[in-house]
Amino acid sequence: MLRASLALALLALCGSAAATTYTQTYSTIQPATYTVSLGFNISGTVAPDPTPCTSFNTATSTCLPQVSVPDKDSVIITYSGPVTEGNTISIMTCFSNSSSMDRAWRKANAIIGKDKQCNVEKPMVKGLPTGEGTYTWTPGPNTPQSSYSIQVLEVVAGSNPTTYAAMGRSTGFFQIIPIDSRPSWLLGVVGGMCAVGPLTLAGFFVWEKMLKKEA
Amino acid sequence: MASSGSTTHVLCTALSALRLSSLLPWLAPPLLGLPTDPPPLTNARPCTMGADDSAHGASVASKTSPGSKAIAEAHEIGLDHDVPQFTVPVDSENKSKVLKIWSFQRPHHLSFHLSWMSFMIAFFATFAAPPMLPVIRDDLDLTKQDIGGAAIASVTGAVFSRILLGAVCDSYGPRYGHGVLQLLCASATFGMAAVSNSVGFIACRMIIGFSLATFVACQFWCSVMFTAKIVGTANAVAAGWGNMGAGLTHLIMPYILSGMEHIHPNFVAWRCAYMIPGSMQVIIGLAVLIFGQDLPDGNYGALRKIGKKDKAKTHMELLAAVKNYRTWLMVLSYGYCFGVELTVDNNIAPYLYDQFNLDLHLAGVLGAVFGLTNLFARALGGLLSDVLNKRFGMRGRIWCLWGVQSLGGVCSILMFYVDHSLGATMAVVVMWSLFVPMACGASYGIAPFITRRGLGVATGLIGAGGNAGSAVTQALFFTGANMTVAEGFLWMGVMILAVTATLGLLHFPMWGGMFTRGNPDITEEEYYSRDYTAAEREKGLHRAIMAWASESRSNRGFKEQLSKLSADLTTKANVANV
Repeated sequence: MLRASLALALLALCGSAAATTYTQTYSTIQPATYTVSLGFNISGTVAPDPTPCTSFNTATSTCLPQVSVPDKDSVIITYSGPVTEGNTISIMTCFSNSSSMDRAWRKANAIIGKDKQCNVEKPMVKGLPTGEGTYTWTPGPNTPQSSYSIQVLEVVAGSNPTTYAAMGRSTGFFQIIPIDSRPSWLLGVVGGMCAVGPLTLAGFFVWEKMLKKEA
Repeated sequence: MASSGSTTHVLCTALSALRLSSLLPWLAPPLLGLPTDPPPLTNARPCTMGADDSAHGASVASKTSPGSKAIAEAHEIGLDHDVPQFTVPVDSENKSKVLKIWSFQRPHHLSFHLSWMSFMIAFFATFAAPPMLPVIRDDLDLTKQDIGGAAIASVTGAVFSRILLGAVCDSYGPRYGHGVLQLLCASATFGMAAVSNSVGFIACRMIIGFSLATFVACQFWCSVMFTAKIVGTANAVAAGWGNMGAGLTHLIMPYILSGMEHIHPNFVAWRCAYMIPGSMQVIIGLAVLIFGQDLPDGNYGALRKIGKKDKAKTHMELLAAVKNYRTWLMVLSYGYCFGVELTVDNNIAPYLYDQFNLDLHLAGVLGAVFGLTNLFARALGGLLSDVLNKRFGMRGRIWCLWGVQSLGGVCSILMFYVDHSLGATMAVVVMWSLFVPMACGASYGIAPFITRRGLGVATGLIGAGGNAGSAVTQALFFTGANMTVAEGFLWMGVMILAVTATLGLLHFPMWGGMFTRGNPDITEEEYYSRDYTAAEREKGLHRAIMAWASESRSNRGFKEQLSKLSADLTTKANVANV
């Protein structure tokens, strides 16, 4: 009885997490009707129309605009396309191919809703108006170090599952410089804690030896 | 108390497996603290660590032996080292005759609890990374190969450390085995918080994985603290509860991470979360050293001082284990039950997170299901092995292992076919999580009977085989970019079925195998004596295993024992008539 109850609870938990079935593919919204251009606010300097870099040099990373999270740099996204009443615009980051390679959790998928290369399930912003618009994205502290482009999708109003009417993608990429995830205070704590185990062991042996001498 | 190799202690696992069938309901008498009845088949004491353990060249302290001077002196000054007092019923070796899981009685039950807790914390620390992997892989920019390599590293280190720790326990005691391992590996656990790339991640996971060798110390310690009739229970419960650490870490680490994320960004929070398992390792390591006791009579050092403990000699034991092909068959088989368990522990939470777009907490909770069934499933496997042994002998044990392990393989294959449905996947995971630990428990219903002289080495090799199997499986199916995780489960299941089929080659001359009958004219004494050279047999060294051989006769199964008994009685009657 207990086992059956646990099984039912488990299945209920699974049911609550059941994923929606997506079937719409990118080919249904080709060719792209939205144009997306990027500007960058880097160290306080706005570069509204930097030379787009379409090739990413993994060794030097010199080709791409470097957007620094600690310096609170931002990406200015400008999109332009047809106006459709009721529909909304979602903007999301897309990992570059080099940042997706050998990483199945960032794998591209022809089905829009299952595409993990572009974070379709987790857009940076939703509900923007169709037509023309601008959005400034300041990458948060949890943004991984990778190179990205930007994708825009027009969401059909009231659709369930979510369906898309149009798309656009920026040319070129930019690179995120992440936060320092190893601040000096953490390194100090780690150094101290790493010594605790061996010192405790050494201290125990010394104590045991002293006890034996006394005995 | 004379010396005992790891052979003696792990043999108690098997002996208790023999006993369990005569103690139905098997758990009640020892757990309720009731005295256990002597075994019906023989009056021999099977699990002696004293005079009978001459396989290790040990000697019992007597009035004329060198160690007795210290004992006599101790008596003179009023210290009665020779007669310790216990609050539980003990046998002639001062091993507890009961297992009270709610008791922290010293030294037996306190050692039991320290032992399984240490093993559990080792598992907790080793598998702390997988439930946080979605965050770690973004911070360290890991690839699938890096993650697979780290998973391999986490189980590979223990292959060698498990073999080594048998010798450490023999020479220095299980207390030092646990304590040293936990306190040193804690440095790597804390060090994980400072890694900046895949190399550091892999190195730390490898060193933390060394702590999985506490399995050997855990089994060793239970074997020296509990008498033969219940040592299998104690070992199975301790091993199962220890393995549960993998499930607990999947359950708890996401919540620790969440708590840290309230204060720090994700990429700092996971590093801070690693302080928890590291601290647990320091605490348990120190607790084991301070509160634990190696043997019922005292610690190794004190006992050596008064001549009650000698060092074990292990080269002949090693040979006895290594030259027996059954050891290697079981190494292979255990690699595909315990090895599978380790592999799934490394992959299940990230798989659920990526495949079904779950959040970290839910993926951790669901992934924890696989490890948490160790609470009862491993002991259940041992029990099933004992039940089948009672009726069908060793053939029943082998068929039991083949059956549950094959079902584990089927579940692994099914994981591929249900990868579209979370509910179906979890239904398969629940069944899978029963069969895999059951196979582990059933494995140790067979392992102790392979060789008596090389018992400790054999069981240590088999344990290490589990880790080796996991390393191979991880490398073959879960590291390359060309195979999805679901496909990996499919091919792992095929491999489980193929390897499990090799159990058909396992044959004991006196008991038979899956497809072969045993020869009733070959005695257990003959089989176990083969591990001794002719010269050693002439000296009578092989007599150390006679009691054990007699006890192991229950592996002939009920029908055969009955027919042999009938034949013996008939012979005696004929002789009497003549």
